[in-house]
Amino acid sequence: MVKEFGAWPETVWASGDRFGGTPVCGTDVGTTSVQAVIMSDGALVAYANLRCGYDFGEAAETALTRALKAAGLSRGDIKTCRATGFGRRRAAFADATAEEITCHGLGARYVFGPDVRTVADLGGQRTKAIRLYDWDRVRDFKISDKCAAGMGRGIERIANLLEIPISEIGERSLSAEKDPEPASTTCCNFMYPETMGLLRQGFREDEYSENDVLAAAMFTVAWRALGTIGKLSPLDIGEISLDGALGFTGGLAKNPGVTKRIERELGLSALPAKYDPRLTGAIGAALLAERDINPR
Amino acid sequence: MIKQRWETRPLEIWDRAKELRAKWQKSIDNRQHLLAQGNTVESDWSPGFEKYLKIVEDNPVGAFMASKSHSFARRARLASEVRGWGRELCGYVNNCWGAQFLGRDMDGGPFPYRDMCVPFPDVCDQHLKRGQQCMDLSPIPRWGGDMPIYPGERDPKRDEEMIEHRVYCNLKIIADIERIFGIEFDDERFVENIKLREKLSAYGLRISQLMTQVPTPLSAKDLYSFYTLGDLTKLNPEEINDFWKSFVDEVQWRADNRIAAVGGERYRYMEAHPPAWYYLKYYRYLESYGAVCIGSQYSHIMSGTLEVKEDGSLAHRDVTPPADKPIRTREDAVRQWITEARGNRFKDDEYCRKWAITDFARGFKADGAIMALWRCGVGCTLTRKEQALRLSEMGLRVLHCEGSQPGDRTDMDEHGFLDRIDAWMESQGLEKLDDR
Amino acid sequence: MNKLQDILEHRHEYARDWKKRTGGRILGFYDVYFPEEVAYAAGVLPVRILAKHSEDFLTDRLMYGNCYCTRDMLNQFARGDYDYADGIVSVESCQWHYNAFDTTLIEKPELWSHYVFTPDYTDARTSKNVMRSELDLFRRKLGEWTGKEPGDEDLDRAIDVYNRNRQLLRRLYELRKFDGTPISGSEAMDTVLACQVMDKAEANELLEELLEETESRPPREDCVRLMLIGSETYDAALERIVESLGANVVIDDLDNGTGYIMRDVTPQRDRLMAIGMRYLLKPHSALKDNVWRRRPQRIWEFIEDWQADGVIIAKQIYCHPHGSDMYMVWNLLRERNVAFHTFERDTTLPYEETALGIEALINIIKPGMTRLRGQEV
Repeated sequence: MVKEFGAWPETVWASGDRFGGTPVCGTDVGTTSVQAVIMSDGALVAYANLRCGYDFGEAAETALTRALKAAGLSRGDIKTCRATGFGRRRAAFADATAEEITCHGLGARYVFGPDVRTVADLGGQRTKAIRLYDWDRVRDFKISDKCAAGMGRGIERIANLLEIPISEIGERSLSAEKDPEPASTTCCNFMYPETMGLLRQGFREDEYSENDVLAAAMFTVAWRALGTIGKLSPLDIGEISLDGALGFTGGLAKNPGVTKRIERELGLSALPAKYDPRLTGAIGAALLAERDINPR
Repeated sequence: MIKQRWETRPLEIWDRAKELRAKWQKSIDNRQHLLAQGNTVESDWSPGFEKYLKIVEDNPVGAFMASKSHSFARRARLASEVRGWGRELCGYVNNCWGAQFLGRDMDGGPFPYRDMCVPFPDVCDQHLKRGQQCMDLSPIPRWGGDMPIYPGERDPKRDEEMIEHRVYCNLKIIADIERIFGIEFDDERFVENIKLREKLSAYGLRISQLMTQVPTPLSAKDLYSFYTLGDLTKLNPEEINDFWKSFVDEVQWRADNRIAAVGGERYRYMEAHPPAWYYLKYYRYLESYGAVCIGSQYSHIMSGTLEVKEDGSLAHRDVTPPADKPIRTREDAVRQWITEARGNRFKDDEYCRKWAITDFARGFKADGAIMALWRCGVGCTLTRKEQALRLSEMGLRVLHCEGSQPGDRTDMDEHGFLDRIDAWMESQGLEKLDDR
Repeated sequence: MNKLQDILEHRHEYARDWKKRTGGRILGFYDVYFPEEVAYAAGVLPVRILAKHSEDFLTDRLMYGNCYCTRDMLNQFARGDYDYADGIVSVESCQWHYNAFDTTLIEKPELWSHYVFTPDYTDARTSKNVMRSELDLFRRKLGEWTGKEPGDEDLDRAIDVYNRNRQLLRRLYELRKFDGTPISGSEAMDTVLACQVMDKAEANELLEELLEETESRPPREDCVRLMLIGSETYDAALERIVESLGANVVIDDLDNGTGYIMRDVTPQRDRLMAIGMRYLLKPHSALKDNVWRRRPQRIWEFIEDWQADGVIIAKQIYCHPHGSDMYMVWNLLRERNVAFHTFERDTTLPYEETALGIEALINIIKPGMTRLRGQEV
């Protein structure tokens, strides 16, 4: 079997604390990974995070089962469940669905605190940039263009190509002395052959190290994400500027090769995440589920 | 070591060209003048305001950025993209106007904001909307205009109202600029420029004709250093005239003495429209196969519209000559300049004179063609595949390469491009000269 | 489905039937700047060539970088969908349109063809003369083709029929100005599109019926009223997605919508000048609004008059004119705090991808409108 370098390890977590209240579930069924979280009275009780595969419904079921097991709960203990994400309508157990923009907006305030104003959701398939008011309402949002898709997926391909675990490639890319020109910044499908070309040239002429090649690829993804995030910037003359603090969510939020480059370009430091930033969408869905049973 | 078939040597006029270019650049950078966004080739009246006004076109600005600084051009395009401009728009436009949005130029100085916008007749949709960014940024004075088109043979009757329209629009622009900015139009200087343009066209034609010779005394890459001097970068007419005269003399001398642009010339290829300005390296790479680029319909723009005559010679297409009457008024001068309704060579060559591309191949004795497919913009790629089919039918081997746009390296896979070139050359039995 | 929607769905059958019934000729046209009145006056039926999603037949060999719409227009001719068309006519509009027209003639040289140069700069004193002269030439060419040059009476009749059509369609749009609009955005768009592919006199009769029936319908309960801006559309698929989410498109700034129905021909002795003026003064597309920028004011008036809560900007990928107008439109909407969502359309309109942004826009305007299971489409 071919070794998989592009996948993050699957995780299951439980707080272990006793909890009261009514447990609810939120699940984020993304294109590459799925998360299920159990929350009760606004507290995170447990979660599971795993690869999605092609069967979104089954993946969501598995995530929920693992999260429930970790929390020591059964399906019947969950009062209600909301699903979000690309495959949300495949989560048969969900009582309702919610779109990702609202969920990431709500979840981000939980994961990063109330100061967060801009959320950059760097997903497997899409980049979404969300601007929040200083209360929990979405003010504006942008979703990546048609030909800017699959950036998270693209990074997985690069990890597999170079046979470097995905958890390491970000840091390693930062050790390149200077960022080379990015590989094609249109989409990951153009980026891949160009990266291959760099490798070929590098190995032949010793011009590029693996880290330089990684830097070119990460720079590509960061640059493309900036194209979406930057659309939240004022339209006045000047560089991209964001109003208030930034938080990264989604799988690429765990890749410093991408996030540090975005921070560098924007001239700011993103807020630290209190929880795994990949959980943001699922947490937002769970918070909506809590509102379903306790309308404000 | 590349095998030498012909004697070759550098052009002597190179330094003078650089001086002229620098002078033009300085004239813009100094901000001594009002700046107008506009199409310089279609604004032949502009030297009438030369003491006060410079027309700056975003095409060369954007191309220059792409060739000089990838990183600045990329940043500028991002600035344009985040303000809603499509990534599939022309790279020249996104480079130049992205810099406007950044508020600075490539050298770090302030962006030279435009004081007005004069029309961009519809060479391509992007030209038509080309003044949009500076017009949408602030309420600068602006004017419109048209470059009519219709398929088929020229119809003088149909042209009448179109010519009147063009004449009216240009006269209005001149009069309005005088009124709004309080600057005086020098009609004599305008007339002088019309005459200079006729001369430049004759010089250009001679250069094009000399490049049909084997070996070509000048390659397309060389030509790119000269072709905009005068028409696009309007400067002192005497100086420009002297320059072109000397240039023609030198190229003539090279042709007479078989001085080649590329010593190993054994394969001649043509192109379609502008090259990848950020990756001109491929010309040198092809020279290693003994392949020389003899240009494109675009790079020979200084010659006007060309066609192969019955005797096989390359000459100007027959155009309506200016009326043989003295120029007494400004309107006379405009009419002397605008003699045709349509006549934009790119559109004409693509729609009205579909044979123009094959004429070009025959005229320049091309063996093959590189027909770049640019994903972004319109005019740079429109009809390119059809033209390639026509060239293939006449026996040329056509290579397609893909990229974003001549001013946008986003999608250019340099390694992939060189691989294609290898396959293209080798499939025609050509090996690298230094490999043999 | 109303009768006009049915004709739109079976438009090729309608055109073949029209030809059989009348023995007349059919002219395919590419753009709403085509002065249909002149062709109609000559007894010719102008039929709008509408792109759809179909497999690529030959365009990859001939085109590169074109929007899918113009690729498909060529495709459909090559495949024979428009085998009933006797000719095609194009106008000065976007170059991809011209490209589709020009290349179709290479593939189908037997088609009669003409090109009307409609000035890109519409505001010059001389623009009107060019337009008139082009219409005069078109009239003469039609005369040569059909054997009868349309005279003033023919033009008057055509102007009446076309003005009537625009007025009826505007009445339909008026019904969408208020809460509880009786007609959905998709039905309204289908109806406008249907009028572009059929005999306007027949369309007018059906429109009268539709108006009468629509006015007696119960009001719709739409959670959010939206405006649609962007590249040309050739169907109402996007409007249907909006409706599946509980919202409704109540107004548009589209060439095929308000760009088609606004402004009548004002009668005057010189009929051709009258027709020409309508096309020079109608709400301009992004391509022709290239100097004086009338779009922002117009968009704002539509938002106000039709009480739109938010705006969807749907740009076709590779649509350069609209790609060049976004800055101006965004500026307007941000300045006036209008919620909007911009996205790129392509050949297909996948539900999940498309619905995400629209749903998020709806939730910005009215939180909690996300749909419960069982109610989803």
